[in-house]
Amino acid sequence: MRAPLALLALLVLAVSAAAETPRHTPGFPNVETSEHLAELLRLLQDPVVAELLLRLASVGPGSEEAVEELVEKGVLGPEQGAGILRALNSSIDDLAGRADPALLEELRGLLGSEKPDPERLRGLLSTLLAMRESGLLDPYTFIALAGILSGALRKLGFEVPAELSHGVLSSLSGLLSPSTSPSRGAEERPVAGVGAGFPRSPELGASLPSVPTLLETLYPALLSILACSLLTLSLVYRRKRISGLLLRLRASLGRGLEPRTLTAGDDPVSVYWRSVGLVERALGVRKLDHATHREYLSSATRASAELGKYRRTVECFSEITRLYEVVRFAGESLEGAAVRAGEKFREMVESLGRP
Amino acid sequence: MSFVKDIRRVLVDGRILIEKEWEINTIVACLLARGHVLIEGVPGVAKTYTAKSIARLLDLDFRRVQMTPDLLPSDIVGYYVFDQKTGEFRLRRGPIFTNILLADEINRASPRTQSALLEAMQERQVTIEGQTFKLEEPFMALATQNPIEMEGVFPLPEAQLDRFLAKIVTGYVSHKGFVEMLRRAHEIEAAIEELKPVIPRSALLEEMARSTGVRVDDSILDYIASIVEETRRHPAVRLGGSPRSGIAILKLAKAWAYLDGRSYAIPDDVKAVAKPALVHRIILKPEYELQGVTPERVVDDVLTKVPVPRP
Repeated sequence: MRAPLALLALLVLAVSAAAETPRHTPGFPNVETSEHLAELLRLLQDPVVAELLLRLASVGPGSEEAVEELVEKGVLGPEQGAGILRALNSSIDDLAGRADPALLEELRGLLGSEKPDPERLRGLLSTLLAMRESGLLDPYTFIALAGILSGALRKLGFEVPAELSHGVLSSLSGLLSPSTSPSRGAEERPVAGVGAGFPRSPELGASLPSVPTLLETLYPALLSILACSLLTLSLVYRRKRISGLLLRLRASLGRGLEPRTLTAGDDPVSVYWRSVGLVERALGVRKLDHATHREYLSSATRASAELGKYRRTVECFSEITRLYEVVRFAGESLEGAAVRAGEKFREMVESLGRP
Repeated sequence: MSFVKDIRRVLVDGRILIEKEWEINTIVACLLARGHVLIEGVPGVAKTYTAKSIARLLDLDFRRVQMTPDLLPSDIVGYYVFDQKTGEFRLRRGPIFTNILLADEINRASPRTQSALLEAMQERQVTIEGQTFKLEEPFMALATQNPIEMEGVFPLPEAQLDRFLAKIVTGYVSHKGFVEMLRRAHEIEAAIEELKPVIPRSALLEEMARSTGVRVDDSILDYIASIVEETRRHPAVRLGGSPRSGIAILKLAKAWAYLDGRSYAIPDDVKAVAKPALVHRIILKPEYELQGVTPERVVDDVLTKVPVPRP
């Protein structure tokens, strides 16, 4: 089970690292960058570290030992290690105030039932991942929730989904020890304390092209095949259908590539720009520089209608756009606008989990 | 702002003016902004009906002048006649003493008459035999011109075109609209005659004063300035927007926002009014004009180049 999981995680991380697009919306700190993912990918080339990280990512038995060993090897800082250990030992009640109360209630309700509905479980998982991607959940809270959920799933005889492990791995990428971070000169420094007694990974890395490089080489060929296929399809089908297909493709490609971090209590203007980022990724509709907020809302509404989903997301976005307009251009500090915008943003994130 | 809804309800929903909603909005916005409108369109596209209907609904006086080459300035502004009974000169006021003046085919009048009219539009007053008369508020001139007329016309010079706050290019209705119009042809004229005012004149003047108080954020001013400057930089343009064109966009955007029931302007208002405020102020390079480039296309292009205010 672990080998395919590791392979899957490697592949997903490689694609994420290679497909990083420069679509950063102002107001979003770009925390979980491709550099972090690349660093994680480099660490995963070491068999021992890879084993430890994957054990931790599965948030199952042995996770705590894995954290301790990773701290010992310098992959995680002591502070980060302690934080993860605390998160792994958290209960739902400990997370009150750190995670959305509605989410915790949903989790409690599901775990309380003897025979939980798999559809609801899937929905909860999607919400959890969407909240992590949007930055509504900090890495520690996400790991804690992932631990609780996976523990419950094991108890009920379900397998822990790979997406959850991938989410934990992605969260871990932002918690790497500062000493291993690429911005602090990790390129010059070998991975600290990793793989004592094992052949060092750079030899292996030097002999084979890295996954992103390989993908970069393959991109022109893949793009040519895609272009030819689209041309053929456009001859067969009408243009409208093709545009719908492209929209779906963009939406599915765009989702989850750019996780962002949020801070609570932001004004409607910054909440608006954050929600633009989410809508861009969910619906695959980019906000052009010359498009006004109302024009963009119309585009998003049209795209949602074409895709036949994300209706709730667009409804929330519409309300956030209205608040943005009033606060931004009327110069009014609407009473409760920030709170309302925040609520709508959370609803929006939840709706992304259940299109 | 209910009067605008009432106008739309009567004229658009009541199918008196078919497919003319944008024209109605622009004319009312110009009226609120105390500006004048140049309507370009071929004969028979309801230019007179539009002006007349709006005047009736707003409880305003309406006059129409058919411009011809032999029309004299005094035919528009008025003149003194000797009254044999009283032995005194008596003022005979011209059609300019009204609220809404429709100057039909303005480019048919001689340059002298055109400039007399345009001067009156700008100053909102006329001078007859050395005596100055203020025109009654509100005053708006709706001038029409035929785009395909080439002979026997005196095209308006650029400086005079600049005095119109907006230019509306109106055209034929769609096939469906045309059929609907034919169905109602016999009743439209009577329906216009029977129109009742939706707002008293005094209330309209209050609305006009209120519309000037629409808030415009600094970033919107910056956006307007960028649009006007971009028209000057456009490769197809010989003469771009003047500073007055920027003021025209600002005035119209405020009125547009007010018509939408808002007390603040947004970039959408600027985009909505940019075309009517700019097209008659842009002069294209002949080589581009020959290739079929129009000022409308230039404005569209400019609007897709200038970024809207951020964040």
